[in-house]
Amino acid sequence: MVNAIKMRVLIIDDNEDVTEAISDYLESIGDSCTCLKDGREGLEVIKKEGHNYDAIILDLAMPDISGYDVLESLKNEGLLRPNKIIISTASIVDKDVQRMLSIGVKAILRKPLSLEHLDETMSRFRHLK
Amino acid sequence: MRIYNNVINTKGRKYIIMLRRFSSRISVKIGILVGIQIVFVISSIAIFAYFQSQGALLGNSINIAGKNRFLTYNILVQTLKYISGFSNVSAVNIAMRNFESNLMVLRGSGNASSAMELEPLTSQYFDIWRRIDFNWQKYKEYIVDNIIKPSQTGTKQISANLITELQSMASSLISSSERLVTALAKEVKTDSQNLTIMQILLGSLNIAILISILYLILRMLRPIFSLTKATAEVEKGNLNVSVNRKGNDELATLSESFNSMVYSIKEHIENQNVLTSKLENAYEELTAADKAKDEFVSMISHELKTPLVPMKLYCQMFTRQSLGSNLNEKQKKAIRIIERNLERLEMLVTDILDCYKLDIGKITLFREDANIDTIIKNTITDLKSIIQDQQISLKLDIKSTGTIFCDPKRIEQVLSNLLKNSFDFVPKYSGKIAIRLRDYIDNESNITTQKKFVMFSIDDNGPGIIPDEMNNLFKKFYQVDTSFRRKHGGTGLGLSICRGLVEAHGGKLWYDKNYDAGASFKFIIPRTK
Repeated sequence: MVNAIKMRVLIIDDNEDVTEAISDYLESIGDSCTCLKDGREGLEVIKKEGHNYDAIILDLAMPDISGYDVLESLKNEGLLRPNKIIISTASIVDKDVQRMLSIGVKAILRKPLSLEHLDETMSRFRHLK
Repeated sequence: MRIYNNVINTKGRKYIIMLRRFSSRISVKIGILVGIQIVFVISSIAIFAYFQSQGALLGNSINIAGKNRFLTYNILVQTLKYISGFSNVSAVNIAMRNFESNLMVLRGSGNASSAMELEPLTSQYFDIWRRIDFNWQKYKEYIVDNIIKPSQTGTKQISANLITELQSMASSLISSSERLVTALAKEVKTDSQNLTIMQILLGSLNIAILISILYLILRMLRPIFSLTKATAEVEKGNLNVSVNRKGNDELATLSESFNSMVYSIKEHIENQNVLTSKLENAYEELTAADKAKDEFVSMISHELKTPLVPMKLYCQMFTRQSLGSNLNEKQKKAIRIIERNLERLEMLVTDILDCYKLDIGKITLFREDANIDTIIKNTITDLKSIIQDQQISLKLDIKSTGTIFCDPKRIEQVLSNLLKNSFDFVPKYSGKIAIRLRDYIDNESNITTQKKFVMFSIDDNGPGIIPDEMNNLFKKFYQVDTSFRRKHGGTGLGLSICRGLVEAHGGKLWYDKNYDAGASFKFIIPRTK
């Protein structure tokens, strides 16, 4: 089962097993993935070549520079494009979600995510492309 | 004896205190000062009046003494007239009587002709008066001897010597009278000088008294000035002020009250500051603790759930054939078992985190006026496949419609949990479950605060719960039958979470002991805030 619309996806998560699993799946359905394992690098890549990606899966809880920090600095520099961002979070603290919504990010993957959930979320982005 | 002394002492002290209190009154102080001033004014008037009357008396004396000159001349003129034959001797007699009576008046022993008041001459002038009298006696004797007596015999002695003698005697009489006038005039002058000095003295004394009155008044009012100043300081917020207490009057009392007032304000503010800083600290601690709780929940959630992500994704990839196309049946079975246990683990993690959030009060409810029908429909739709699989007959007995004020997702969670609980206990393929909805009014609250609720009731035809188990029902990780967990799964947290969620909504959840056809769980949710 390979999707007709192929996406370039940037995956940023400090847990390499997570990025590996997501990218393995997405690549198996025809997308191309770039994996980064910390926020600092993620921020640089988004700033420099963010336009090259159709979707960015960003983990919120990362050491040093978290997903929040990435979003904040993007927002402060006017580089934030909320409709490209997919937040992945294990947080059950409702404030965290509220904060994301206030920034303008609408796509949220709740960990532990399922393939159905991932498919459904990615399909929304596919249609935007 | 001792007691008696004490009585006296007590009484005496009482009087002294009364006296002191009396003399301490401001009105008394001012009264005394005004009294002094009145006495002073009256005595000034008396002194001036005395000096003035003294002056008037002296003036009268001068007047009368001055009259002597005229009267002496009159005698001389009348005598010469008689000698020249122009008049008779009686005119001389009248003139002499006039002089004599004037002399008596001057001395103070005769009657004054007019309304003039006269005092007898003082001793210092008496010598001069006697000199006048002596000259007068001499003059009188000479006239009587040389004029009056010869006239009675009808003879008139006229000689140049007689006239010269008469003139010289009159002249000395006049000059002695003049001496009295001069002496009296001198005293008048001295008196007027004294009066001026007295006036200056009294004036200065008056000014001095006025100044001292002013000083005393200022002294009495000094507490008011310091009070005004201190009040202004207090108004500015400086509470380190106090007013010196002086004396024992109302102002002193006022000063003392002011001091104690400022002191108690200061104490009050200090207490308040201490309290405020305590509250601030407590608030900071609470905020920090709150933040720490949030962070802790986020952290354990992250730590527990993240490892599940790759496990779950890879398992799913196997079952979707993308990875598992060339697996044998044994391997496929192993993957299914791993997947099932992953689901159980995920459920457990979710329940534990829910429980923890309820325990620390960190659950957030997105409350709204939610439609009851929608909640029921959503819940049943989610469970449809299980209901069909187990051939459960589900009865809806809804006598309460409209909205309840709740987080609909959470109420769905409660309903779903209770229903799943029943699914596990009802007999296989003949299970009967009823969802009943009723309006409910809390009997425990009084009429004015009575709240309207909707009661949800989930009744089944399972074995029910024996009384011994009822107390343990809502305990965490408790399950009626430990072997049950292995058979049905479930975490043993479901009922505890349900109760926590309902209570977070301001409702109640309980097991209905009176229902005997099986088990019955009931919970109420308020209709409004």
